[in-house]
Amino acid sequence: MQTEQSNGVVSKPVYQPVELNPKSSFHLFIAEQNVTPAMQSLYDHCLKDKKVTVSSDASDPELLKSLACFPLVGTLYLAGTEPFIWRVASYARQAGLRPDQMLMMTPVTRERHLFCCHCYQITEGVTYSPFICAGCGLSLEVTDHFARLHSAYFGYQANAEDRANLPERREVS
Amino acid sequence: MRITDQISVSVTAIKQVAPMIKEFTLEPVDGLLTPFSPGAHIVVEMGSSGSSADKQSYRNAYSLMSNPMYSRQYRIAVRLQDDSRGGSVYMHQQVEVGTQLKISPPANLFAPEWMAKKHVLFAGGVGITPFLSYLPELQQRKAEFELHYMFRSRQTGAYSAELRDTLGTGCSCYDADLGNRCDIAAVMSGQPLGTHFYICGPESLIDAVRTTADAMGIPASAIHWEAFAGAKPGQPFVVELSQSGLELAVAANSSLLETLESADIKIPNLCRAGVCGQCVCDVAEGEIEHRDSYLSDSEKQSGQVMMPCVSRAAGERLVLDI
Repeated sequence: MQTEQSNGVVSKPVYQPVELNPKSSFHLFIAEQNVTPAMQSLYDHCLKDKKVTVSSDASDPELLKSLACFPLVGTLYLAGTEPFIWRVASYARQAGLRPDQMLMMTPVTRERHLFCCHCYQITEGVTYSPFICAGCGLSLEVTDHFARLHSAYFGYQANAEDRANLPERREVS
Repeated sequence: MRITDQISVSVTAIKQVAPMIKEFTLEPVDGLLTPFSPGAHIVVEMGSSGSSADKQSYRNAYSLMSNPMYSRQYRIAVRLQDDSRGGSVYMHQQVEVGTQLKISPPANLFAPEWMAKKHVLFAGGVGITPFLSYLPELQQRKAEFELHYMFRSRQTGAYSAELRDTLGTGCSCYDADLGNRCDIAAVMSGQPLGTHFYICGPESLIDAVRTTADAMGIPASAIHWEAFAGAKPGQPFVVELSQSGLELAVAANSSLLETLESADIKIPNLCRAGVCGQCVCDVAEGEIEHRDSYLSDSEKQSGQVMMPCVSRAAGERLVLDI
């Protein structure tokens, strides 16, 4: 039984080390629940106009307000879990921010959100594949196909031709 | 129809719209023209209908300036270029009402970013043309925009009076021959989040806007430009095609792409200005003078690929792997 992914779609985000954008005159730091040490260090080194917002909810009205009045020349820094980072980025995009003014820090956990293509439910806390869908109970193959608008990875029935013979469990990073 | 199939059109009207700019109306010889989107251009082939074998032919890209919702005819505007290789001189001196030309179907490398909350357009001289096709759709969508139009009224400045009449405060004109200059930094500062900037004009204008944006911290992806400078002349050289052994002489005022085309070698292309990347060719031998803005620095340094629409040999000889 092959354990490697058979589908070739890889859109898993790659996170580079984040540095302060020296050109920006305004810096907004958004963190989920806790400001990470890496973000704290950036914040401490930032000598320009700056603001930090901590929220566990990407649709927090306070957070959305800070995006709505964000300046064209600002830079946004995001820290937290991957789904949180991308959900905030999605709101930021709607507010008019460009992708190159949103800097994403490496997610604090490797847990994924998994989108089930059979029942359309999202299962949280996914660390291995196949993973049981919280919505319909199917064993889903966890792919590296990441939907930026849903902040989730695409999942489909593992070994659909013979569901009794599931691939070996493998960790996803 | 394939997207590369040419369309025969005839010139139905010619209008002098500025001292150095003529406007041409093109209608299909038969059938209908294809619709196009704001910012689209066509490639016009000129001077290829003559019988003489050594007759020079030109292909230049021109923005469509007519209303995209009205595709019964296309309109283009051509500025007589000072350092022309012949294309704009041909359009100004040889083309008359009734002349037939071959054009490519429209392609678009300069479409508006419809996610934008606001559009700021910078036009320099004949660079107003793509924005003339933007305006009807911007107005129909009730999009927020401002047009900044820079020109020298002794040479260019086509349509400036009409634009001021129809757009009012949405259009600011700067006539350098009257000493009026656009303060680019003042226009760009204080623009709201979600503003996109578009530039069509000479390289100096594109550079000025990009440099200003970079210094202000405006994200680079919010800046869009179309360079309308096509191939510039250079030193003549010889090109050898390794697969057929064919040797061709590239004249000083012909591009490599034009030389290949005149030998019936078909190279896919869209912009003919070193931007779109379609015409990329593998190079087996010879030094290259890269003039495009498509290849990365490392690709240019590798010396293994080039864009024949604008780039040339740095020496006397080049071997292409085609």
